[in-house]
Amino acid sequence: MAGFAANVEERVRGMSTGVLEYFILAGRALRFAVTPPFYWRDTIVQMDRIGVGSLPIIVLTGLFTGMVLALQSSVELKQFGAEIYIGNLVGASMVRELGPVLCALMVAGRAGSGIAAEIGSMRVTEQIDALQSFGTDPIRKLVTPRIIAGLVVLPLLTMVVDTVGIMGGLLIAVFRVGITPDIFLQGVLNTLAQAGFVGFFPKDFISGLVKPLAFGGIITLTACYYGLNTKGGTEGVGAAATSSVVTCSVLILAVDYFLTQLMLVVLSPG
Amino acid sequence: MMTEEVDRPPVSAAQDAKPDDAAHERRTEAGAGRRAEDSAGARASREGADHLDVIREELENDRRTEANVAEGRPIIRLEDVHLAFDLPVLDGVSLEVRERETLMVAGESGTGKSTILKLILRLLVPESGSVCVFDQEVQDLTFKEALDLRRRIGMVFQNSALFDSLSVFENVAYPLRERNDHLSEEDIRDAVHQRLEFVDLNPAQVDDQLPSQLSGGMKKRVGVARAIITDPEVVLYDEPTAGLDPLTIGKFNDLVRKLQRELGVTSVLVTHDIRTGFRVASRVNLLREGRIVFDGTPEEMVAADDPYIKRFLG
Repeated sequence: MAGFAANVEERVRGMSTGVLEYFILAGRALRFAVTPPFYWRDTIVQMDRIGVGSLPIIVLTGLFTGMVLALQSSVELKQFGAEIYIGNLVGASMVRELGPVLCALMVAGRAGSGIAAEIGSMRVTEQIDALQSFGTDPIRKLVTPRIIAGLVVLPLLTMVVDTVGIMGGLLIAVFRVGITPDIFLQGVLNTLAQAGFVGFFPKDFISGLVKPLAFGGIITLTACYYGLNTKGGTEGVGAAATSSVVTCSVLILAVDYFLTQLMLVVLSPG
Repeated sequence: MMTEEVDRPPVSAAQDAKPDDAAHERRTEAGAGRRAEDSAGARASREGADHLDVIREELENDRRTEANVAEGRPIIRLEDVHLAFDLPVLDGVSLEVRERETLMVAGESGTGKSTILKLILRLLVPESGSVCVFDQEVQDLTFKEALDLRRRIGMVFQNSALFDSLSVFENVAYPLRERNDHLSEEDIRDAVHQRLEFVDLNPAQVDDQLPSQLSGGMKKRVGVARAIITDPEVVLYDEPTAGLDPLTIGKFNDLVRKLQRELGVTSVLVTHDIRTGFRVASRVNLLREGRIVFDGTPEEMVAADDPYIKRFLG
């Protein structure tokens, strides 16, 4: 029993240390984002890898999600003769939830695992020690550019997913359900306008871009954290990539809930 | 758990180095063996010789050691350093590296040899004891001061640790770019090509190659070129000959000696490859279970009567 208690205590202590290290890493990485020297070239390379590299998979994800959403909703809405509202349903679902969350999950699976594996293999092959031996701070060189890239690229990718998803829904609505494109698109716009505007921008659109900003930070920071803490050779690199994807996925879903709650309060009408 | 041999103070080479009768007997037997095999050729007889004998022979044939023994001031000093991760790694290590000398830190795998190099670079900080480099206590340095310290030291890593995503040229140029001395691209190119030529690589052939396209020996050479690009005062080598074939090891040893001779750098060589170490080092520290158990010249180590040292030398 005492052994069990000691084991639990050790695990809890290890977890709390890990959480603390995670936030210290975040703090240092963000501080380096505003203090020179800057690694702009690395940042642009990372934007290309995370953003352009993820584009094909993101487009496919958005397209098929929009299509299946339209297809499923058409079956239910048809029972009430309400097929004309497919656009409202697809637009709201894509912009508010599915676009940001699915985009983040796909980027976590593709780019997040890649970042964890890359930094992890740098750790086990002493490349990070080599960086330090040349007077380079590995957080400034490796983590900060990736976090900046994630923060910039995720909102852009989410806009692509939203747009492609709505287009996918439009295809199904027009060619399978038989409603006209203008009715579908009118439904999408009505839904976005319904929640109100901040300036020229619909509140749903803003809420849909705040989330990916948070997700971009979470994915890159978590991947870098696991990469930097890789131990045990090539096996450790695999474990770091796996842990990164699992943790990112759980964090994305959990943070999505809290951000939704927050947005409902902050952006509530009136 | 420390053994009796380890708990003893380091073997004083001057006091304990005495004729090794057992080795002498083995040498005599080996000599007899060689005579018997003369008809089969000198090569076969050499293969049959005792390993320790071969080391002695190499040392006798190679008088560079005396010339390399440095009398300079100590520039790296570890005093009673303790460090543990899950288990104790260093258990009261004290050593000294003098200016322009080459110190070999030998020992079995897992005895904390590479840890010593990481302490010198302040990649690790000791739990107790003192690590003093260039008259600075490394554990008292701020992060920025530690970065400045590292810029005065070059390190050749065990597996070269070249950056996979950068070409050979960019790998070697990396420390220069990081120093941000406002060098022109032309100056950087000249410096990189000069160092590549110094390590016997043809810049025109290797400049654009990625590390994955190089052989093990070439990677080591690029690693050395990168380590010396900033003209460091100290070069640290971590198992530099691990995984190399004997011919490449020979070339690498020549390169290390060329560095000593032509650039006059102070070197710390961590290895369990005794023959490589003896060919380049002026002094040897033997590490066992986290403690230095021998401090002396290669000749004194070969002549030492300590049973563990004899076993280690094979």
